[in-house]
Amino acid sequence: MASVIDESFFQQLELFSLAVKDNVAGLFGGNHKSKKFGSSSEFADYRDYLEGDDITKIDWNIYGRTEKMYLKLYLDERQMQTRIYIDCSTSMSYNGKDEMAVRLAVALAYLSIKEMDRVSIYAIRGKIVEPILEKIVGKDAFTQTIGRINKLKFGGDAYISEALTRSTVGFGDGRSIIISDFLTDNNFFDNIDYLRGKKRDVLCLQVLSPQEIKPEIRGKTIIRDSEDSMRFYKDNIGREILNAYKKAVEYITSRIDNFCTSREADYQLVTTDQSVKEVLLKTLADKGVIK
Amino acid sequence: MSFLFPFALFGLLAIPALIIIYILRNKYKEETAPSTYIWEMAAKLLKRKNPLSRFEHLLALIVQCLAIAVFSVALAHPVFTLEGQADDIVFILDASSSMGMVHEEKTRFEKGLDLIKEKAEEAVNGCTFTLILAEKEPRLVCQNIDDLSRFEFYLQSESVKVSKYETSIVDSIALTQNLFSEGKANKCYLATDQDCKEGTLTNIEWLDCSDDEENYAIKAFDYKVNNKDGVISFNGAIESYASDKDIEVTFYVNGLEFAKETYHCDKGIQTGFSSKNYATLGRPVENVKASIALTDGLMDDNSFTVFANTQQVDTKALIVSSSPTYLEAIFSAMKVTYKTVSPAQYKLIGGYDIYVYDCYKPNALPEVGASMFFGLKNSVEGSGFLASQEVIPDDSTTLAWANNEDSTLYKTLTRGIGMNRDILLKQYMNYSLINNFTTVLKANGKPSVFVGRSDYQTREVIFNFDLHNSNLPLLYDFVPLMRNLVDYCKPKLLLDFDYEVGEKATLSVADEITKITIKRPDQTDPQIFYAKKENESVEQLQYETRTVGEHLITVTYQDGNEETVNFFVHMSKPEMDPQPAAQANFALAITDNTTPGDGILDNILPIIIAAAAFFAADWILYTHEQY
Repeated sequence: MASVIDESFFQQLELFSLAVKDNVAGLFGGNHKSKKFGSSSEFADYRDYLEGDDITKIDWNIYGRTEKMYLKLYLDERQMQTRIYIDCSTSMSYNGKDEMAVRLAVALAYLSIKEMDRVSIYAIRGKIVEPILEKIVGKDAFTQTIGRINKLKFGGDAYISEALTRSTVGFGDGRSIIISDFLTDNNFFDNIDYLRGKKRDVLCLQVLSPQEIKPEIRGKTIIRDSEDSMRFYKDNIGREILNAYKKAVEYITSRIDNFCTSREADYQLVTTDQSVKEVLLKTLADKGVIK
Repeated sequence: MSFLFPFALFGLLAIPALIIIYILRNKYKEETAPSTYIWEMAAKLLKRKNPLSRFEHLLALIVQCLAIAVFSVALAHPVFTLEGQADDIVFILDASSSMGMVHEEKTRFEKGLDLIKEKAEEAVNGCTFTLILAEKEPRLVCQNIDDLSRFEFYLQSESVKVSKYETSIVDSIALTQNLFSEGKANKCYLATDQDCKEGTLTNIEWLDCSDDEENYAIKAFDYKVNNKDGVISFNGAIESYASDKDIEVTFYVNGLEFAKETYHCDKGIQTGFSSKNYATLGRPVENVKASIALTDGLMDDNSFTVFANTQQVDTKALIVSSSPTYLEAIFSAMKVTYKTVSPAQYKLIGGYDIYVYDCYKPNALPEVGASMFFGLKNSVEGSGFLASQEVIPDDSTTLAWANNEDSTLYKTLTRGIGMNRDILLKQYMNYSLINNFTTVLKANGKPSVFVGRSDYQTREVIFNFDLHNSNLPLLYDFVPLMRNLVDYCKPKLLLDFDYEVGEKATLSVADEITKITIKRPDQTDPQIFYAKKENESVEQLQYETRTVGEHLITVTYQDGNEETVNFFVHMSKPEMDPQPAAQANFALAITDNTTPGDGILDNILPIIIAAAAFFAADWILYTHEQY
């Protein structure tokens, strides 16, 4: 893969992040407020003072007016974990899907970094999850390490479910983003169930090229699978088959979408002819993935 | 089937070439996709594959091959033979006068032409067309024309026009029958305004040119001048053919409107009329005309002119006879100015139109003027005949009329003669004729009364008997015979002034006439009809009337004087009827030769359309496949 993440991309990313700031709160809704009260400066509620409480938290103004002691409660702020998984199988190396996957991963990671979250990017290769960046916090650390992603290689198979279940996926402290074409017989639905079982917010980004959605192949053709040379499809491709193909694409995308919806996970189809900005600002924002 | 341009069929070689190209290009091509997952899923969703779709990929090839085949065939211009489907068609077009009747701004003749054109255009390619124009005599305008445009050219030619005659369809049918018998025709259309009711035509199809247009006609007209009280009255007959009508008739005398009278006519019934008596203009009546004021489809029969005989012929005769009783009586009856001298007194002197030698041989013939001989026993030098012997039969010899009906002069000389009593001779002379004479009467097969020219081109009338040896002077026929002979000696230009169109007017040409011109009503300038040539002597001329109306003859004499004579030509009475019944049952007999020919179908337009449709279908298939 050519160097995708370079200076110009970062410039675009910076401009893009400003646009995000003006339009949406952030990837996870801003300050990632915990359901627990904590030490942030954001007021949440009052409660009666109890012995042993920190007297510095008493609202003395209210005491002056009511002679009762109330404790001011503030929301607790926690650092969230964003884990991004990129499908690095051979099928992802076609028609610019790899570039789109990398750009999306970096853009989403950058948004998380801006929120002071910890960000990890992984490559799924075979049945293994390979870390590319792990637990990066802060913009400086991000910019210093993100260049590694340019060396990401696509090839071979990718068994998403098996790879993820073997890895550390965290528990309830953030979001897991899977970027793949999901064009596989392998079962990736168990993987979504697994992540949801770990209380993770899940976002599935299915990256497809326009050639895959509306192929231009006509006539007698042998179509070989990029991941398995022994696997091929042979037919005289005409209008009838192309209509069936269109239905197959709709079936595949709607099946994932429906499954994600049923598991309270998010799903979005992304095509390689879209820009990253368009995907994030329009597609994901419209869908409510980015709030 | 044959081809006009068979070389174009080499275009069919493009079909195998196309198939080879298709086979070469139709091998499986290999593609690599990121994943065959969607294709496999699509194959599963393609539940029931249309069995026809197995040939779908061949459809474009099939359509392309068809397009090439049809284009090649179209370029080769195929010609199909339709066996026995082409007719040799004869069109008989009635050109009679009634076909000139105008209805809705078009004559019946033009309507007939349109109907013929319509039938010709409907005919299968390969038919031949023959056009017979039923004029006074049938005229074959064109025969077995196989080119429609050429036939239409004949239809539009100037010679194909309505005549003023009454025509005979029967003669045209007879001519068509000849064509049927010779195998040159097998179908016949008759375009006429005659009412050919069902059953009147056999093997003939009627192209109805008739209509219900109004027509009024003056069918007869004359006038009467009473010299005693000086009044004039008019009489005649009129008819309204299409409806009951009050018809106003205007009378003209010497070209000036004179009187108007209205007569009621019941439809289709000839109505005679007699006018009131009117005071004359006070000068001689030269011509009288009756005219119907109403406008109708056929104007030719709406006026009728009667010309008075105004020719001034003053004939002087010198009778040389010792017993001139009969001759003086007849010349007196004919109001011919005459002088009688005895043979002893006779001296050849000029100034007479006719010199009558009764049993007297003059020493010489007069240089100017006609000679009339009775019972001449000796030959006269230069007379053109020789006296041979006298015949005295035991019984009376009966004269026989020459019956030379081919001679117009004979017909003129016998005009008005009843010929119902025998003319007997007791004694007569036999003559040998040297010059060309016209015999009127014969005695025992030899000329008895004859006329002709002497060696000096003077006119001669010869009786080979003495009137006293014959009963002729006692017969009624003697008067008209002598009048005709005197008219021959000093001819009147015209004897009749009213003709039916198609009739021939006989013009008797006097020796002094140098030129005759005739102006027809349809011509603006008079046309020269006769111009005398040197040493030429013409007795009579026949002028065939072709148009209806007033004709003007101008005669120029040697001395430069001119004389004008008018005559009127009226329309044929049967032609005045707008819807005359068919003259007869017209029938054509089918013979063994009367068979249709082979038709030709060479219209390549449907083939070109089919080729274009295949080409368009191929393009639609291609675009459908692509998008």
